[in-house]
Amino acid sequence: MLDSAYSIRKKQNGLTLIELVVSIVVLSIIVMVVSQYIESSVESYRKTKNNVSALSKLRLLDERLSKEIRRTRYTAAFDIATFTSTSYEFTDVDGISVTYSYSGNTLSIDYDNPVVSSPISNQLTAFTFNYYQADGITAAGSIADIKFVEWVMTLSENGVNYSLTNRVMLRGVL
Amino acid sequence: MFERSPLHKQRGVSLIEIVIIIIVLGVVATPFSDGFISVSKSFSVDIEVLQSNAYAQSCAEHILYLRRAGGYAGLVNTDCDDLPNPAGLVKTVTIASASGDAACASGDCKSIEIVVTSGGQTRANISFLLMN
Repeated sequence: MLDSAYSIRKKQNGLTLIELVVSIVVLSIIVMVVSQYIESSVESYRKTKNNVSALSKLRLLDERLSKEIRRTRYTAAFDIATFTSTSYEFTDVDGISVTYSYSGNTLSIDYDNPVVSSPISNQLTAFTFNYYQADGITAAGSIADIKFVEWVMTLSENGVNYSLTNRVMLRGVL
Repeated sequence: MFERSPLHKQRGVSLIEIVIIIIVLGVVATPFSDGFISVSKSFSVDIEVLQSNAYAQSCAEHILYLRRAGGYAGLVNTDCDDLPNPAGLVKTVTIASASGDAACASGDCKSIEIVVTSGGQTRANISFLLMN
């Protein structure tokens, strides 16, 4: 009895090298597939986080520009003082002088009463004001021609660019 | 007896069986990967929604201007077609009149709906009343 039991044990082979290599290869394939899932979900989390952060900044900027620029009065006295691609200065409905200026990735806003100057974003890799006549497509050459103010901006968040274009009609334009 | 014991006969899982199992698991896992892809797709949709909304707003500004500047004038669907459209976005303006016509004459305007789509998917939808 003992003898035959011993012989069985003796016949049991361990893992051969080939079996070991095959199992390592099979395991590594499984790990590769699973790690891609993990990697893609980490990546999409990172993208979504970046996305949410950038889009909320862009939305806030757009809302502020819309609301404030719409406060430009379109009157016979012409309340617009400066209109260039990087700067827009106007007197708002409360008689306060408001200046938007863009330089070196930063869009700043200045008020004359009380005197305040503050950057509202320093992540803008591109920013342009456009001014249009009544048809909405012809560039305005003079203050009296300006009916619409448009802004084209590109905000960069961790190397990813987000661009947005919007426009408003000036207050009291007829 | 011992030599024919099941212990001796068990051969474990063959390589072919393992390969089949992996293939089956792969097939089962494929639908789940769509979920991951759609998460990263939503990344590009978000910015499109913002851009589409801005585009629809610009169009609405223009239409309101035309109406006001024209002394509460009538409107047609093509009224803001001249505005430059952001790449990939398509805008449709639908004008409803009180009398049910496609365009509205002065005094007959009811509502405006502006829909912006990208690749056939609606990204922004703005509607406002013009009833007078």
